[in-house]
Amino acid sequence: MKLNGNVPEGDLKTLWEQHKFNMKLVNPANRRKFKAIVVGSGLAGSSAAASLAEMGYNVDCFCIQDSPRRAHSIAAQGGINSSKSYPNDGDSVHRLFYDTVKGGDYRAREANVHRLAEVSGNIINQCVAQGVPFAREYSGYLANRSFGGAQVSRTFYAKGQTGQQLLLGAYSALSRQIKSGQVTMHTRTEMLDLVMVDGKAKGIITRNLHSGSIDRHAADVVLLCTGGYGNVFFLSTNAMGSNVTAAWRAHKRGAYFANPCYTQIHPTCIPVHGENQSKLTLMSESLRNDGRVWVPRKKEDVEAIRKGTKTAKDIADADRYYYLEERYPAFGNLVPRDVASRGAKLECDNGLGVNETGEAVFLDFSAAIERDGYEAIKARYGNLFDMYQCITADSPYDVPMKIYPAIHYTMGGLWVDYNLMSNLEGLFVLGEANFSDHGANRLGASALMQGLSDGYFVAPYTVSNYLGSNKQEKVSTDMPEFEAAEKAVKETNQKLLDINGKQSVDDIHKRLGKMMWEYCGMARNKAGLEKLVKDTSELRKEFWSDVSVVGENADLNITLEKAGRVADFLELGELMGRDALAREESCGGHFREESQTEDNEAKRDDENFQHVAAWEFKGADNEPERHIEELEFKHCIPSQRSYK
Amino acid sequence: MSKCKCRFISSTIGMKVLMAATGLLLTGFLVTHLAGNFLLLPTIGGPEAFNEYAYKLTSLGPVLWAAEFGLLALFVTHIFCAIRTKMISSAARGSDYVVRKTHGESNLSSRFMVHTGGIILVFLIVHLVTFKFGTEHALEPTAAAPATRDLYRTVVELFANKLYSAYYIASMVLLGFHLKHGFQSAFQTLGLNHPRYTPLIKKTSLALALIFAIGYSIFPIYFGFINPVDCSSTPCCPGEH
Amino acid sequence: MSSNGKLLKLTLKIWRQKSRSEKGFIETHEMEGISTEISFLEMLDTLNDQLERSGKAPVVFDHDCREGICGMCSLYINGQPHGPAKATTTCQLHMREFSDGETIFIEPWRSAAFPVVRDLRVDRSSFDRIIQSGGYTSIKTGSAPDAHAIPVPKENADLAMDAATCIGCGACVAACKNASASLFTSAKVSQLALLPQGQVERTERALNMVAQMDEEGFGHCTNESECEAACPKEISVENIARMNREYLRASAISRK
Repeated sequence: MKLNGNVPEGDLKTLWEQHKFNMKLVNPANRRKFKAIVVGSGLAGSSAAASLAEMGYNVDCFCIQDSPRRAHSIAAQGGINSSKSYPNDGDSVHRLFYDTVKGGDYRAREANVHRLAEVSGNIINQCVAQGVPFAREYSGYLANRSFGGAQVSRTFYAKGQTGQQLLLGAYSALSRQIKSGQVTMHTRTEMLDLVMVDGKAKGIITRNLHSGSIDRHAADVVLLCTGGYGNVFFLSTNAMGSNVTAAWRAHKRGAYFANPCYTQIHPTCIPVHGENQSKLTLMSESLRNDGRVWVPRKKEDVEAIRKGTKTAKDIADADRYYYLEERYPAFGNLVPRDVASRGAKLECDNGLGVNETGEAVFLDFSAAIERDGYEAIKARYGNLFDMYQCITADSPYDVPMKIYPAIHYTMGGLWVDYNLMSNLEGLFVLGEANFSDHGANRLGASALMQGLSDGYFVAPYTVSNYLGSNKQEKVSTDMPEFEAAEKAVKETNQKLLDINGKQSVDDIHKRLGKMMWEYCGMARNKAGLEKLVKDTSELRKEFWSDVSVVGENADLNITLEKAGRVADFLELGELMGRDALAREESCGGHFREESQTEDNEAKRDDENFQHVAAWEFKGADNEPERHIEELEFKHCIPSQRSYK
Repeated sequence: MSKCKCRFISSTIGMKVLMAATGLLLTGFLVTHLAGNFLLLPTIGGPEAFNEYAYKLTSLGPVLWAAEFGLLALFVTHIFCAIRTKMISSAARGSDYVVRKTHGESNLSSRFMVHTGGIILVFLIVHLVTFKFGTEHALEPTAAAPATRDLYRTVVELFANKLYSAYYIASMVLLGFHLKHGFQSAFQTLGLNHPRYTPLIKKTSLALALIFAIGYSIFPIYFGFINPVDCSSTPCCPGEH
Repeated sequence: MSSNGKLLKLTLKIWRQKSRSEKGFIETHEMEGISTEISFLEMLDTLNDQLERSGKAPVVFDHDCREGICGMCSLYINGQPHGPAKATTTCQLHMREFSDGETIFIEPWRSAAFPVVRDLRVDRSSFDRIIQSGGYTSIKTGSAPDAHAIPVPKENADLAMDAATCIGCGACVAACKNASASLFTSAKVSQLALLPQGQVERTERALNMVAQMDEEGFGHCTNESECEAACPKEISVENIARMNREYLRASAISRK
């Protein structure tokens, strides 16, 4: 089946304006008759819940953390892009649009991306008015920096904590609405199922993570703002609690999952140290502005470093292989994330990795310190160096950092149309949870922009349009659909508790993560992916027969929470394998070894794969169905990305 | 407006502000009191000078009563706020930790504010009973001062009791402890924290604590241990033996 | 980074408490072979893994981002919130801070306004209610002027940022002998008081946030800076002075 993205006809430049005019409105006096459920309280969720409540809708907002302020958007470091062009260096809405489509390797919907670039200016206005303390110049005006190799300075930032400050801004707006009673906040509450009534999303089933009580919630529209699924890899830079469950359960109720194989690997993370490791820590991309990436040229030097008989300082400059600088003279260490990541993998696969696991490369600041001085480097990266030292006990001022790529962001997600509505009527998906704006690769400082764009400036219009243009039959939680969904959730939980197997939930999650990283990580190939599909399927069966979940359902039970999430990751992992297998091209974060240029760069196949793949769930043991949404590029003409 | 005041006074910050303001005013009182005390010393004043000073103060009449009432109000407010906030904080803490360490600027002075405050309150009562309302010795009336009290004698007789003097000195050391934290803390409570001035305020606080502890202790040390009067004979004045 | 670091033998004394109303107690666990390279929470993960394998209830503790920014992790470790390392959250604390044979006491934040939910997890929703009482500007989505309409002196913007780095973990309350939330509340009051965007609601904000802080049952500030010393983000007590100023000013001029 070919999917329709419902992009309205018209000139791209005025499309969103025109569409806003064409969309149906809801009379202010009638808005109080409608209720929206917002699941998730990150940038997208908080901003959407606050904005809808300000308009007069009743909102029920849910999060699994103890406070909406703790959603994982908070951990974003670098900044937020906007086409404001304050620095007068040639930026524009069109350039931000163009860069984002190109950066996404021509796998995003043009109209969505253009809208994102258009509203990006308003986001900054909104955040400044909320009191977000963006960095400023001595003039008192906002400071901008270039980020992730962009050729214009369009990134607004608040130290290395931009995500935190933007989230706290959205959280403050949400808090105001909670106080006013327009939003009812449900913390420590996890969505475990979507309730469909007559083909429309009308509610959710939740579990209270403190009491274990399973509850029904009815509404006129459901917005999922539940973030990405990077934790399918077990080790990622995501928070421990980040999961796919809400999105996956909606998928199992019929929502299509688009491009699950598009995952972003961040090149500069602290390497894995051992089996007990629970998560990976990102070191800001900005480090590559001054750090030089290298590995030793000689195997014997590598051995000596691993044994500890030599340190990085003992390797002469001529014996150091600055592979990014040598291979990409124009961009050097500032090549995009996917290119830098694959570079590290290539050298480590060649046996040049510089730690015991063989999976680390050096990021060296000695030249920068010599050039600019200790104080200058400290001013730029002091907090990052301190964090690195806190974790590894090494000081990057004295010895090079060791870094390795790690899973950081997922571009794939539930399929949505131009209005951010999934194929299920009344189910909207915002932020990282949807697939829409980043194509196959996300540019730095664009995730925050998309989350807030969806929540503040898109969903309020399109949700109103949905509510205004459809007759909304009132539903109650007494309806059989709710009863059935609640029963199913309880049965699934009981099933998990009844397995009484021998393996811990983490044992299986770790094994899943290793499979995913091995076969669906930085480089993928047909044989590996076929193996992955088979292995994940078997692991899922093993999970359902041999996992051990202690405790009870009707009680606080952290093991049961984890088990439910890992059960969903297992099914998702299999789908990712299928998606990566079906996409026989390389694009952005998806690198198929079969499809590369002579220089080992990603080679797209626009003829056969210039489309979105959206998967329909057909039962856990059945093959899912792959649907296609063709992508058209009228304004950004696809070209081979090259950073030589 | 009345509601606003009530809200202010019943808030934790309001109570702390009152405690800080009264504390600073009481510190001012301690300065003048100490200055007056120095008239006890023979090199600076002596019996006549001290008694004359006392007489002048008492002869202020209504002005003195007003001042005394003001002082009483300051003490009562200070103590009332201390007790209220202490009760609130005890309730706020709930159960205590099994293991507890401090790492900030918490010190003996700050941790025992309520205790030193209580001891100073007891001292204050003893002080009033033994001095202000203590034994009254009459002086021969003169042209300048008719029928006045020989407060000087009351003081030196009391200090001649070494136990009393020791108690007095101990109390003054604790007063210093109370002030070491209290004085600078009052500025912070009143919102006066500035990277340029706060270090100076903290040093001043320590200096004041030392000045009061040592300053007030000079008299019991002098009249109790260096040059005590013999109270078995009357009239008794130091140096007559 | 040395290969696997040293291996430690530890005695853990962990607070267990089934619910708010039930009495808690200290439970002892002996741990062996703990690498100095792993984080404190990974050490607790190891313990929980052992407990789960033997069919026992794992120790409930809060954590999420494990990179020191979400404010979810807590733990009062050997008498200090977030443990012995300065300016470090529990999730960033590593076992190299501990020595072989050491006994480690792990307790929850203790404050009447942070009731224990289970074991080491406490309910910090009182912090949310303080923010809800006024920790915002009442700007509606879409009605903001251009971001450059009002310049902000860099010094004020930087001070506001310093205050805004608060992660809302509650270490300040945990460290304070009076369980005062002054540092948390003042960080938000300060951030908005320092920015022109916060001026409109300045008076109401100071009055309402302080009133809510009191209503939640937090204690008062005795200016001992234990909060600042415990704060993983090193928020300064200067903010408390600023909040007091704001409150004094608001009390004096408010017509309500």
